[in-house]
Amino acid sequence: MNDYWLAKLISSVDEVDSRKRLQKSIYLLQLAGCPLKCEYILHYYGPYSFELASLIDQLEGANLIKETPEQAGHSLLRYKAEITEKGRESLEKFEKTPSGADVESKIKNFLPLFKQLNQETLWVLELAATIAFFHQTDWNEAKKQTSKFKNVPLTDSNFQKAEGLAKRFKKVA
Amino acid sequence: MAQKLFRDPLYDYIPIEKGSWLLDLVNTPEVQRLRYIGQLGLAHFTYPGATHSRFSHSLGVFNLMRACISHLKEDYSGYFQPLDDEALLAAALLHDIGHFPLSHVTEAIFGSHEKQGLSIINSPDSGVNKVLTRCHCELPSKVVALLSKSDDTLPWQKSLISSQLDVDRLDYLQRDSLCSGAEYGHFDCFRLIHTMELREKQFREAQKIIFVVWPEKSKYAIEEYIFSRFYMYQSVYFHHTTRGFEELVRKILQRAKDISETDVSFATAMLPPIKSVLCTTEEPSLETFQMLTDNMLFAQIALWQKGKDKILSDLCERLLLRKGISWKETEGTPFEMNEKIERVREYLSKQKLDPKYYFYEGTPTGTTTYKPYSSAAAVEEQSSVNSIMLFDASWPDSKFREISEVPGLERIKAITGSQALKLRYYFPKEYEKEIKNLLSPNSK
Repeated sequence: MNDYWLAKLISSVDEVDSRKRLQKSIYLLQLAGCPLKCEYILHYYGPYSFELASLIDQLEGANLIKETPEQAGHSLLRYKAEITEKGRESLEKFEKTPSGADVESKIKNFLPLFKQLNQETLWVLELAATIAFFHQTDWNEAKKQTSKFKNVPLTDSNFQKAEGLAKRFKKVA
Repeated sequence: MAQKLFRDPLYDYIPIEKGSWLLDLVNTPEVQRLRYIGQLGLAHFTYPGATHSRFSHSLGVFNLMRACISHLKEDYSGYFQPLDDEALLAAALLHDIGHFPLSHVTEAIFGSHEKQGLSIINSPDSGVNKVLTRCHCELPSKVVALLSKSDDTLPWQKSLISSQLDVDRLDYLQRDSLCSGAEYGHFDCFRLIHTMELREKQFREAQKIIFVVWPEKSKYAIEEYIFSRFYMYQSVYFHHTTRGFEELVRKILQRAKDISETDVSFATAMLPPIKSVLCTTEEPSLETFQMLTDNMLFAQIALWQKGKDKILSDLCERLLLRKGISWKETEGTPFEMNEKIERVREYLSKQKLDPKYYFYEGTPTGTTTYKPYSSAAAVEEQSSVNSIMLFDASWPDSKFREISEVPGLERIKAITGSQALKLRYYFPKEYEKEIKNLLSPNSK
């Protein structure tokens, strides 16, 4: 039911400003126990899932979400995602069925978390997801690896906030 | 030095020096095993000629990697570190050694081929580890780094073996096209390899990353490759008949696994290599893995066909005789189809057929290995891993462009953007009419 869960998460906010935000938010939500599960690898911007990218394509192809490209710097596009009217109707219809209600109950608790992540600075989100990806047992080590990977000094003011975010989501798990 | 010549349908001859560590690597049991693993799973159910092996493909990938290295070293030798050549050649040859029987078909049940392959290379007992270590003690770990998805080192080297335009795809698209007879895999492979460049790209403020790129003059060769990949995907990799029978194999294995959980004698009677991957979660030993081939799996399926369990026997018969399966394609997403699916399940249950084994979906998902190129995903994450980048010094700004953003190539977007999802459902042919009705858009 990954398709339903992703559409439901997107429907819980007005819009998600980029695919990168969606990628990092879903990664952190997974750590917190969200039923939407995708395989992640480490990418230039941090954890990245080809599976999730494909799922986004599927939802757009089915006209359940709409993506709007926006220029975000030199030759870089951002894809803003929002639920469509058809998407909302399909979600409602599905949730009225017995199995749909059951599936919905599994994602309900994660909607407020997704909203919080949607309001977070993209850079902090990216750092947090990367710290969480590197974290095995030692948070300091994870921060060091992130610092090296992203070429950002540990003294960067956003590191502390990102670490807090990563810890919060791994702790929930 | 004398050479061993491998006759190849694509490249004519693939020479490897006699007495070299590379020929020793080809002759290891793990690489030789690939002769018994089909490259395309059950594609020969649709295209009878598609019976080529992972062995011929691996040799082909090796051959293209050697051409890539030779070309890149002409102008970019400074980017090469000691052992890069050896690691890239070995990675090309070994990238598929972890495949279980029928390649991707059984991956969801038997395990990840990537993990298995890395484990073999890392194991000091394996033939490949011994040959690599003999060449250089650090070679096994360098090959592992190149083939591991979770490793972030060696980005441009990795993109030669695994990216949207890599030697793996360049070989399999042509080879699968030639062997299947589906005439879509034609593109200018020579040009793609011999115009490849390495360029440093500023990444964020302080980071510079080396990317594999192509010059503007190669844009039509890349376009041809992307279209070829799209057609091969549509006509071969996602062919409805092939996918239906491949999913049936998974149902057969699922049924056998379910029975073995309650029936000890059934599990005991299984062929030991199959039992080791079906009834345990442990990684198979090297010795067992060596025996896990397509032939072993089909021998087991033939035995199950004559077994006592009626469901398993029936499923195996449908597979071995290539019969008794029908399908319907619809648009939408799985959750939108949920109600209709429930009704089909109820219907099959009334016919005394367990829908767990007799009704299944065969839709491309995120885990599908063969996929067309997607430009939208590429642009946003801008990397050498998921985009095909061109470089031209006359272009403003970054001088790098993703292929579908190159002027004159906007038409690529028609096949690389989001595609409407087709859902496919498979069911017993004898109930075709009723189930197609239940799945139709007008059914309420």
